[in-house]
Amino acid sequence: MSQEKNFRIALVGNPNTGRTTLFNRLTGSRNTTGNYPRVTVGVHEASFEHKGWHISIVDLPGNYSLSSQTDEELLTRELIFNKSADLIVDVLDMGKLERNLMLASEMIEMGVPCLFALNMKDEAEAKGIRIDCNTFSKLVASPVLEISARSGEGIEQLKDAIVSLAEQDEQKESVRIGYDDHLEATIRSISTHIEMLHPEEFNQAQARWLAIKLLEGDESVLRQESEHVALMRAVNHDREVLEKQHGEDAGMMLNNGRFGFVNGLLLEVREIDTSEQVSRTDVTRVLDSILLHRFLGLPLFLGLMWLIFEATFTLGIYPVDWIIWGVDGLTNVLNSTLPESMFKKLMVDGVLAGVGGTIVFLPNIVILFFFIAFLSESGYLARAAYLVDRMMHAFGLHGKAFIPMVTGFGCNVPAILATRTIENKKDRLVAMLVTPFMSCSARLPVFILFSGAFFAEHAGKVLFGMYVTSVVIALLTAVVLSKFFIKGANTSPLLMELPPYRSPTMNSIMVHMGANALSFLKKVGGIIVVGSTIIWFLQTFPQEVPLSKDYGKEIHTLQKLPESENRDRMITDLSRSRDAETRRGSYLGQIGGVIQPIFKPLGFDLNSSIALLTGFVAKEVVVATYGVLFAQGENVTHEDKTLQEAISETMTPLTAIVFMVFVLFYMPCFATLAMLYRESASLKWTAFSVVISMVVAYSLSYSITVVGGLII
Amino acid sequence: MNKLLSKLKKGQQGEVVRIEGEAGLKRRLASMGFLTGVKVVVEHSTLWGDPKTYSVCGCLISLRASEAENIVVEC
Repeated sequence: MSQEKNFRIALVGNPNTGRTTLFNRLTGSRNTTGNYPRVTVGVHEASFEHKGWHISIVDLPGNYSLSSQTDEELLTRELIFNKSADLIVDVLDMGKLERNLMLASEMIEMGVPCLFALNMKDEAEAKGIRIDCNTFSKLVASPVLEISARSGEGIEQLKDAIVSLAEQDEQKESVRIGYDDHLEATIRSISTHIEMLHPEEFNQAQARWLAIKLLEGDESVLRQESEHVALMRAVNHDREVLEKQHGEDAGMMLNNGRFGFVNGLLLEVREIDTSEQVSRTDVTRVLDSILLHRFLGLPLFLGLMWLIFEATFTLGIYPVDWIIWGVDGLTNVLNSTLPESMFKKLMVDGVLAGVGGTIVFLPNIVILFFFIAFLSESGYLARAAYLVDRMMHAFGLHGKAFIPMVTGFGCNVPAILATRTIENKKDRLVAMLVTPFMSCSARLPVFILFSGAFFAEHAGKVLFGMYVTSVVIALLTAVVLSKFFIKGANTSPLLMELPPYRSPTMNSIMVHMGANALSFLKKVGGIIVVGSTIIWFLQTFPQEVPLSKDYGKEIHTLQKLPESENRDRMITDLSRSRDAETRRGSYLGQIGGVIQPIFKPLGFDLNSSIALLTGFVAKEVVVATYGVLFAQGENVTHEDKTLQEAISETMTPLTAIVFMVFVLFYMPCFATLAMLYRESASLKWTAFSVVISMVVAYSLSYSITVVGGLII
Repeated sequence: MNKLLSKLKKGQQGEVVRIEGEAGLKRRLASMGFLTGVKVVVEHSTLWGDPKTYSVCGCLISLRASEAENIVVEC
């Protein structure tokens, strides 16, 4: 035994009751909060010292009930049931006690030591709500305190109360929530049955709780006890009898019983002075009358999204430039300091180029997440999901998938991260898998290059067409995925709380942003380093490529000639040609040669095939590769030619369209796949994403080739 | 008169009489405050009339029509 006096508490409560704010207040840590259900993804732990006690806290996810319907509920319940915590601190929104106490009553039913912290005291008082904490405390046989986690009011008292509970050995008494006689008798007989089956294992309160859960038809407890055939038979029989006699199933009867308990309790302890009701709810009401207006709500939201989108990419330009400048600077430093070696090439052309190419997304991610954090903290995000749900639902998506998908126009990487707000795993998976079809800004350079080269007059329309295609295909894919591939998707209800608006604190927004930026850098960074090393290797080896002529000698000869513009251009052309040939001879080029027959039906030549291969790293690399490859053409570049002109000579306009469509949909870039793998935690679905994008890209491109060929 | 909650128009209200449908959804509705005897008010509607928002137990909750039609109210 350690000398230190240790005590473990767990924070439990409905979503949006200020649990995380309290957690941060108690421990001084800086966790992400959010005025949006389930921002607490996973479990946070920290500790604090008070009056000689070392108190560790677990912040559990917000729950509306302790049924086993979600992972969060199951997690919370198991932690409480197994007594992993010495004390449960239930955080309640003092203004919404009816519903908050329903969860509390489940905790009381489990017979574990509890403390009830009535949070948002200030907001509740503004509504004229007064609570008699003494009576309350007696009725639930646990301490009840009023606090305001935001302002810090009552926090010291809360710490004192926790310590005094720590010093107390056992809780003396407990309350039992009584039910209708018939139900009560049934619970008693089943719990006796359970105690017989598990002697010593469960105490009376635990057996009673298990009995109640069995009657509720709780899947996880039913599974746990399924071996006891007699018990199962008794439970099923009792449930049928109850339902027949009362015209209501046992679950509802239990809920009604708890609600009766809650109402009775509130009648005793709560006073509402309606004359004092002011402010906050009214602000929410007024805002909602505009923001959730039947006709204004949606246009306002779409306008807001457009603004955010614009801001993300216009404000992002400057820091992106700084990063490019920084990476270039570092490249130069490495170039000049490191001795000429393979290692240097790997560092500069492989790792630094790959990492540099990826962290340029960082500013956009940070800015975008600033806005998402702001929307989430303010309480608007849930409303956004509500506003677009109908449209999204028709395509097999949840309303909450909208924001991630729009984010995908910027960059698919943060977009996949943003799907975290979708609680149902299957719905989230659908959203994650269609997000890469949203045309990200890295594909834009390709479209600009090709539409400029082939459709100069109508470049804008072509560009717009690509975006429309991307949305249409993404939505159609969602339909197919939710219907055929991910069974049970699109069935989760919209059922969600729209929390009152709160003005976000700068601190929490910063934390939110910082956490996302950091996780982007850490996890994706690792995979990018590996991926770009591989691509570098494929591009660099073999070193000795048979060349069509001795470029070194020719350049050398030219360099001896008197200086002239013509000479310089010839030297540049020659060295470019050499680069292009070397690239074709590399493993990557060889692979390109092998796969080129696959692309042949689409009309892509070797250059296009190689460009597409390099685009796996990041889609904007496609243009860069073209830059290198087209330096040399079959028709010698005897005069200055822009890349656009060079390309337009090697392709028909139809092939150009096909190529753009292919680039739009084929294989998500490395960073996206890395994020997809991390967030889905499934190699299978990551591979599925590759397969489905290739299938869509190829079949769509091929259809265009065939249909286009008929028309032209 | 008993009605399905999904049939109520914006501004109308009713008292929950019972909740029907699949057990999982029933439990979730109950945990969000849709309990027998509770007053529910239709607050907002979207362009298509679905989903709508409802205030119940002091909270604003959004429900699709397919979810609201499981709730029988007296009004």
